[in-house]
Amino acid sequence: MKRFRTKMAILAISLTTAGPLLADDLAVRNCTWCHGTAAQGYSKAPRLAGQREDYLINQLQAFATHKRDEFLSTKYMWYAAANLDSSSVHNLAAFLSALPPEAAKDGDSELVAEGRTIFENGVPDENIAACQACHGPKAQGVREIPRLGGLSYTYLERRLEQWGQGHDAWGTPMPKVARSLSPNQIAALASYLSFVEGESSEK
Amino acid sequence: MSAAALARQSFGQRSRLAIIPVVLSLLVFAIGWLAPSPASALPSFARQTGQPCATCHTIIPELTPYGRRFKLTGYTVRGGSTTLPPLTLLLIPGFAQTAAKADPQSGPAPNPPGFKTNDNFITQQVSGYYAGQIYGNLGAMIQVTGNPGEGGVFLDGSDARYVGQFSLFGKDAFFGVDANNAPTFQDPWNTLNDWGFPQFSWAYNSFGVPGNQIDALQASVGGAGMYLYWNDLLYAEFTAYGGLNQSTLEALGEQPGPTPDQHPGLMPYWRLALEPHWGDHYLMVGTFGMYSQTVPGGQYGYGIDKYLDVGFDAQYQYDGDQYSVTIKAMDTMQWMTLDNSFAYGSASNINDNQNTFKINGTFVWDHTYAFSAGYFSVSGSQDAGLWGATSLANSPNGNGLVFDLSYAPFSHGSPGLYSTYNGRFGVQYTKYLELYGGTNNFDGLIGTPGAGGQHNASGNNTLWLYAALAF
Repeated sequence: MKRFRTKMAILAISLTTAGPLLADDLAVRNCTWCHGTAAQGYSKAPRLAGQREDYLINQLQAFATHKRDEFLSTKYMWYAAANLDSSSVHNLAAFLSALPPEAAKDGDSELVAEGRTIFENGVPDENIAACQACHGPKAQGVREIPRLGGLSYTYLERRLEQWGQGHDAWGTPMPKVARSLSPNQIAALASYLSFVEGESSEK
Repeated sequence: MSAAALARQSFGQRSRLAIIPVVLSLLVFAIGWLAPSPASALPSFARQTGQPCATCHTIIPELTPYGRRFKLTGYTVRGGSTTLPPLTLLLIPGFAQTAAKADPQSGPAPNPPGFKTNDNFITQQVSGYYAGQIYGNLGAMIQVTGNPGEGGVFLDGSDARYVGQFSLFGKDAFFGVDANNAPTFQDPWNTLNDWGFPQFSWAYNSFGVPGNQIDALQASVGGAGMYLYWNDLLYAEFTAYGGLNQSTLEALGEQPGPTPDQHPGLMPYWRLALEPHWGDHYLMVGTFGMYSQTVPGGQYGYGIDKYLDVGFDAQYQYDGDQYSVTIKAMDTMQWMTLDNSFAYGSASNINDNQNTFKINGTFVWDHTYAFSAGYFSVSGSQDAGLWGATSLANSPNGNGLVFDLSYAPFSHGSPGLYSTYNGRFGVQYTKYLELYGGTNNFDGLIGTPGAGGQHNASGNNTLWLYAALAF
């Protein structure tokens, strides 16, 4: 018992003196807590790694001001963004956008071809614009327009559905675009995009 | 056994709290209701993270995937604006009615002051917590439970963690170094002894199914270990426990008595779990176990009782936007080599075994309304020395059902002047189908003076109205 206590004491002393109590990633952990250890997304929370820096800043501000108002934002992100100052927002966005993104690849592979067609060409007969016109040919995004390539199927599907339901009305032109998409088209697009690979250095 | 149950076990012998704190707490709730504002599970966690309870709990204290990750990251995640220390107070008042009256002297001895043979209103737990980040990567959930019956407080189920992050096989992982005093307290799923269903239950039943050795070691050992959580998928842990001597236990307020059990040597605990997920669906399959040693009453010279517990557990959770469903199952086999107890005559066999099985499910609507149902079963070898006092059949066998309906109004934020508090109000019914190898007169004492209906399994069926109030 005495030896056990000695070992415990040594362990405690080691932890408090040798280990870096203040890790560099602590502020980032407030994000990766939900968005996955490597910020590649986890469940409902989308991948942040490799996302456009301006988009991240824009969205964090939209959460803090309650402009972005779909259900999961009100449930989680309003609180998460409430206490971030401007400097933290910019630092987090810069850090996360520089991380290499990994494709979730969790969509239906049989719908990829249809989704790619919609993404690249739109649906002219239904007056649906090609997604790549704004999001880029590799779905890499630009400035405040987000990278879509490789985001998880669940997240993409949910976002498109939410726009169609009238949430985030400020995010033009997506509410109008999403309202035009059928559930099958949403599933196809989300499936295709979940497989699109990308690099954080892409401009 | 849940943390609350842990507290109850120690606490049940000691206390009936005055009604004052309950009235005060209800008053605070009533005052708070007047003016809604955002906020709050353990309220200190809510203050630290800035998140409402619903982020981490389907309904308190059952964890969501994000709640499990918060625990695994050592309670260090922040995001809130508070500069207050992470302190929380928890009260669990309740009213219990059993199907039959207890014997005048039955139940955990001694019964709390004022305990009646039935229809008891008792605040069965008052705990204070230091729960949250201590500094940097170091966090803790330290639980001190009051013992107003005999005065003082004792260290209830608690842990402290140091976490770090690194890359392993090309995937991110984090590790934790954990110190705790209650095996399974550190586990992030709601399947094992400490946090399994029901997390809250009536503390003073005269008879119930026996626990296993992991239950018995709660708050009487100290352990340190490490865990690894890799790629948001794989959890592995190894912790070594050691017994605490009488003076240490007394210093911690545990009131071990003059001859506490001794636990010689290091006792290993292990845990492996895999949690794949698909969208909002989470599956966990795991295994765990512990090898422990006990010298009952510290009476050396006749060998050591050895216990090997090996368990398997699984949890499925759907964590949707509007509702959640969590289904949990756990089976623990325990093999006992009771050299010491056999030598002293308190066991009739050197080798015994016992199996504990639980399966239960919880449906929660909007983190606010919850219904749970569960089945529990204990079975084991016959042993007159171990079980003869409570079992005509010399058997630990028992099983039953638990139903729980509850309401947690502040999961999305608590109203009022003091914005981070939380409450769960529930009604729970426990039905015993078998106790100690029998249904009626399982111990053969009915007909003797003072022995009443609780010597039938069904006589212990309990209706419990409860509140869990955290500030």
